[in-house]
Amino acid sequence: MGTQAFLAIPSTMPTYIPGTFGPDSQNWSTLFFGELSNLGVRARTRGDNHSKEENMKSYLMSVYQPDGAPPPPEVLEPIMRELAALNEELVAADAFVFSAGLCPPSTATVLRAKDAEVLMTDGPFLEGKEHLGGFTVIKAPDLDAALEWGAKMAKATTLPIEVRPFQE
Amino acid sequence: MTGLAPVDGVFRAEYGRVVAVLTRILGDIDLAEDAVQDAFTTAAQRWPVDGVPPSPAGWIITTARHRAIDRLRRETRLREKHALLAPLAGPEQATEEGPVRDDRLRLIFTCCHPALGQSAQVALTLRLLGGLTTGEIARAFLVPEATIAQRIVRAKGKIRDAGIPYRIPREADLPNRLHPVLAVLYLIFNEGYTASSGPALVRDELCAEALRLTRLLAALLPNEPEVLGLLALLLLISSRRPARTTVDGALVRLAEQNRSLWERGLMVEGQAIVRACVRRNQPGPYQIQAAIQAVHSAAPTVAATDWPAILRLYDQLMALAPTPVVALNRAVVVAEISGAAAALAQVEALDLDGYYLFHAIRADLLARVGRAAEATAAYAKAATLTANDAERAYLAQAGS
Repeated sequence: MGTQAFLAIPSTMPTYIPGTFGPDSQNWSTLFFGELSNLGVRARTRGDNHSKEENMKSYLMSVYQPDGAPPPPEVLEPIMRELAALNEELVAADAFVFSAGLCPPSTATVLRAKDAEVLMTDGPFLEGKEHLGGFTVIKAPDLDAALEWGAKMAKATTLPIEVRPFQE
Repeated sequence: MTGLAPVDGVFRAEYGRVVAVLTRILGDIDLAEDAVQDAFTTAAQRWPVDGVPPSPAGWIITTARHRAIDRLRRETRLREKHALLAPLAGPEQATEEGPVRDDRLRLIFTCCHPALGQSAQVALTLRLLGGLTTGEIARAFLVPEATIAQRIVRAKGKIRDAGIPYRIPREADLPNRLHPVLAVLYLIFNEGYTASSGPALVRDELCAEALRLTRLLAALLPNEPEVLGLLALLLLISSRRPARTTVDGALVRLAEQNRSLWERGLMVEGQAIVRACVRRNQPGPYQIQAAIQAVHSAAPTVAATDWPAILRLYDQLMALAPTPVVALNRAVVVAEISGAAAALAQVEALDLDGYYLFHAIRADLLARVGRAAEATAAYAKAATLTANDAERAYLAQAGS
């Protein structure tokens, strides 16, 4: 069964905009976060610092990025370099937990349980011009420390970063 | 109920301090507030019988600490609380001799953390440091008590869950972190000085609270020039309070005030701080605003005002904080030096259509250049934009 068969309810949002980038093309956030994810695996298997971790809180740093085509290479490349440097810094500070980039919102599917049925909608949960493009999970002793990482992330990506604590 | 009076006095004066100490010991604002509340309830019962202890604040802190231990012991999840109880079991004097001064400073920076919205910062500061009840804060800002209560609960929840630290910022971060603290104190004072809505022009209790907290901040950070600048500014403005309204509550502008009514004590204190700031020569927006008020206060009559000195200060302020509101106030000074027509040209260039004082000042300048009909319209526009009854009455009268 193909993907289209699942998508019984037509969406107002086109799933693929010709000439920009569709589900198959590499998207901005994958470019952003692809390398970081590999480093995340490395950091987690290496992490062995339990005494310090007891006082650490976890924070989610979400990147909100505009929908549509990624910026041209001359804009994207310095961003990529800055992000790679920030990532090294996170790993070196033992603050790195996990990182991932998401495919564009046009690839999202929303499910809602209603009575015995599950309704399926094509597209992201919230309509808008920006969507969650990727995220990094960090460990930090308090919000001030987390916000310092968030500020670096905002400077590196040039995008708004939402910092949110994990439930304990 | 004569015994309640000393408890009330201690409550107003010491609430912020004891909550700050208990927050450090317990690591939780809610637990600290509950324990302090318990201790004051106990004091209200005991002090009328046993007499007021020699160190009322120390007694409250010690009693609150014991109440916190009792409360935690009663909790069913005692094992989880063992870590919390450990620091409480230490020697008695640890709480008394701890860095009490720094505790209140920590609490100020926690309440005014930039990750909290300004309305939350204001409510938390008045609640935790000022010891005002949610009802008192709600009445002061004319919003429903439930709104204030919800704001405080949400802010405390964010402090706890997001891990907003209970800590004095590092030296390098201090200027940035001080900014919201000063903004909150200034806002509390301003709201008291020209209530944004309601029948009374001034809500003196808010001004007094802002001044008290600013004095505290200046005592805790005696080397921060902008803190001193804010203190001087609030002192100089407060000194004019007796001349600012008539007996029936109507507004009297600076130019028409009876200057012999100004409170000399506050004025002299404010002027002395401004002089110290000038000697220090690390100017900032609050210090310059204080200096402007100091020049006004040095003039025995309006005619004797050193307008060129005030204009130079406004030029400095514009260099540091080039906002349309500063430009508007500067134009008022231009009118005194170069005439109303020159000032009007500058005012007309400002994009402040939603600001009632823009229309009030424009109206005044229009009247002075003889454009009476336009002045009346501008006064009317200004009156529709303020929700304060005394100001509206003044503007309505000026326009007629």
